[in-house]
Amino acid sequence: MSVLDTIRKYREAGYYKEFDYHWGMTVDLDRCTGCEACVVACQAENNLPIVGESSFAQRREIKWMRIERYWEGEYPNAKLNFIPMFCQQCDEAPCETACPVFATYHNQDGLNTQIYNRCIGTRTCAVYCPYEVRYFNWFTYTWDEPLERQLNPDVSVREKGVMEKCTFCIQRIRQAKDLAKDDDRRKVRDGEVTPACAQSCPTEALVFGDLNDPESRVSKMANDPRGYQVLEEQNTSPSVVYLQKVHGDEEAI
Amino acid sequence: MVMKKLFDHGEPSYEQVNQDVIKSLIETGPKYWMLLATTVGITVVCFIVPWMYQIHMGVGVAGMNRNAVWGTYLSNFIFWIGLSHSGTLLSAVLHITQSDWRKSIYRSAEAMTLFSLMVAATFVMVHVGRLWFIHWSFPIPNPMGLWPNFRSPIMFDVMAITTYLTASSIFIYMGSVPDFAAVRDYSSGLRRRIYTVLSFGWRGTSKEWHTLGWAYTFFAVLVIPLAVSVHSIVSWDFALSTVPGLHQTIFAPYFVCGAIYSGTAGIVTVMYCLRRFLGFERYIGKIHVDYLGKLLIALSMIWTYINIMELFTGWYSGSSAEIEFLKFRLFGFYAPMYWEMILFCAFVPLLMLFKSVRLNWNRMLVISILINIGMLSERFIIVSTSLPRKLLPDSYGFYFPSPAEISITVGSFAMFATLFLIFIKVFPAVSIYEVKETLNPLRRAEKT
Amino acid sequence: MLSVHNRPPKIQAIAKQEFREGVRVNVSVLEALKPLRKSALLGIIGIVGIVVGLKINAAYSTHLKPVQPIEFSHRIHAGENQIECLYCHSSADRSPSAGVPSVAKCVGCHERIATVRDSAEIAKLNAYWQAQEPIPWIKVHDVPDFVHFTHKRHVLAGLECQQCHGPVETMDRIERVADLTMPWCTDCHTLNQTDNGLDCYTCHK
Repeated sequence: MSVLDTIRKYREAGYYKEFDYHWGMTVDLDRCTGCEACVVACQAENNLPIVGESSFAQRREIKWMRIERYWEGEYPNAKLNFIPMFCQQCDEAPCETACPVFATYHNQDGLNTQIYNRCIGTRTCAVYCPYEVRYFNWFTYTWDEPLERQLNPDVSVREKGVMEKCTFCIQRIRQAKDLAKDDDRRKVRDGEVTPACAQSCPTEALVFGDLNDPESRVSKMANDPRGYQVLEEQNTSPSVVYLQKVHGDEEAI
Repeated sequence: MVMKKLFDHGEPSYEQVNQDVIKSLIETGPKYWMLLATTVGITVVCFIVPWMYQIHMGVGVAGMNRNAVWGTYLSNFIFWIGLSHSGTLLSAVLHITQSDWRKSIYRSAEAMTLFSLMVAATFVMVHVGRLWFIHWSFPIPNPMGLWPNFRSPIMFDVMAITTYLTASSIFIYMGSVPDFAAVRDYSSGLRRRIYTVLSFGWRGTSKEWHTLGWAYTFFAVLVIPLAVSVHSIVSWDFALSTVPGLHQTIFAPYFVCGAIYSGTAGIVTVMYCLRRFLGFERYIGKIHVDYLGKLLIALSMIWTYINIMELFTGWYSGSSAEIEFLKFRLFGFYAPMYWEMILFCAFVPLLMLFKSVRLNWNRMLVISILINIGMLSERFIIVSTSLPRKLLPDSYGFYFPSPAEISITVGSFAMFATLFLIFIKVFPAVSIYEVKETLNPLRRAEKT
Repeated sequence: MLSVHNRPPKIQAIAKQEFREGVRVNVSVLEALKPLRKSALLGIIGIVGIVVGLKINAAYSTHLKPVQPIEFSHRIHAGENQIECLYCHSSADRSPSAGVPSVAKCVGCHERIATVRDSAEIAKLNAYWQAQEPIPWIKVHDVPDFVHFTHKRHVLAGLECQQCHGPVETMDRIERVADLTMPWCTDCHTLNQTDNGLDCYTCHK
């Protein structure tokens, strides 16, 4: 049984079938070089604030996309693994049951929404999230003089006391849907939506698309035998599939 | 069963009960005003001012970070909710079992419940990021057509706390109506007018007594399951998450037991103050401290058992995340606090097995304060050792409270003291009519 | 347990005495509240005043009608002269924002219309044109920054401009007729069964 089947296992039969999309992503860890281009692209695209040195030292950074490093083995034979970690858009998301005001809920495209202007800042979702990909605005962050001109007008700028997280670049998804409507198409074609992180990845480790469409590139990648989900045992059934890194067997060579 | 003496210094007469209680209400010395001014001052300086600063700046004023998004505010919230648990619950249980020794202490115990709940509710407001939108968490019909999420444990909390607050307020008020009437009949002028309104025109007809007795018992029955459910629900805030150390089925009984434990210790502290500063030695005596001490021993044993089971289930799960978290809790930065809590809450209460400790108010005061220090650290440890040790090792972090958080914690105690000081001058702190019920009927015949 | 005999004796005594003497026992709540009547009345007046004030304020802000830097009349342009909305607000059907025409567009026509060339308002326009500055129009139909409204989808869906902006072609000074609140939006989305239109991500992102 592939990972894609397990995604569907915990869902009612054909839940997303009646809807158009189920957005998902695959991360090929074999291709990831840990260059953090995705982190920077995300920062630029989604109006992420620069929190400053002291806040960063207090671990109050806001990075919807982060590269986790895990070392395997002891020093001379140590191997480094990177895991890009961002919102997994779980189908059984713990954060969704946590929010008392429906600022986060599951929408028809299979996304965990985060509605900033509805958030009251109880931070329960961040506690419940096993991936720790939710970031809180501890202060109202501002941009220095010329920098505020690079803000993306399609994304809200968040104020203090608001939780935020990766949205799979919802503004790009909405725009692609908008253009599809202009062409009198019901559905967005595969490859028309690319989140900022996937777009900037030099090795194309990140692939984004519609998991409902069996022909899409992401569906094919998700069926890869190397596929696994992070913290699968938590039963959150994420929409992000990681493709395992394959270490070369040095001794055999 | 040997009937214990309710009154250490002999039974008071009817007139004396009235005199003693109403005197505590009416006679207000300069000491009281100084004390009140001090507590109000501490509340403003340590609680209100940092809170206002935090509202202005953002929650970043507190020491929380992205690994530990909950901190001292939430642990204090649990502590105060816990402190609120014993008063009304104990009062209701003892009312149903018709225990006479309840009658002189229940009013202040219930007041403790009410005011701890208020302080706890304030901590929720301190905790949230955008206080100005907190009304969205109440199911108020609104033109946006948006409702709160009833699946959310936070929402359960809102429901449980508001219900408990309402029920406890009605419970304490209902029991006070005949006493308000008594105060009204003993006073004149403005005070008489105020107490006329407060006592709802109580005359003491047999129908009124009958209705009060019926309604009071009804509420006593209602409040008991409510009290148990409230802290279970507070525990679900944690237990429904997937955080190692919080995601446990034992959490609801653990929290309820701990809540009643700290609440009972709180009652002992409050009783001491009433005896010492309001001169209720005649009414609050050996029998109360004896029974409360025994209750504390029993609760401390249950609490210790659940604590051992918590460690055991964590270890037995074999999950590496759980074991990593246990290591941090038992031997990490906050280990001294953890062992201090074990000492204060599991071992110190065993001293009460000796009668010489149990019957001595001063020693009991020290023990009860130590227990509550232990419980305060327990709540802090629950929050601050589990959240930084979640499932992904990359996100292991650390949490230490900021000066603002510590100041607000100190201020909350002053706020509680302020509310209590106001209470003792508005409500008769010892129930007049219920104490009279325990007096010897023969003596009443003598007097009248 | 509770019983009649447990009443405090002083009350009993007073009650008995007053009963004998035929005096009404003064325990009435209304009696005690009597001195408060004046302040209660003041309180009620105050509350009513606040409510009425808020209503007036709401009514005023709903029909926002600011004085613009130039007395531009939609009645003359869109009403009498029948200029299409999209002639000036040209990006309404292809962009989220409808677009305010540039000064050049205004001058482009007005240079050639001899009848009004010398009027005071056109003189103001020419002043802006000569200074090469944009006209600081006051935005009447504004939504908060967290609302990502798009004109394009609404215009392409076949909505008339007047459905939201009111009878603009009759207005001398532009005025807001809709309150632009969230229920106002969602009502329309619900009634027209917009495709996935009640997803929060439709407007908030």
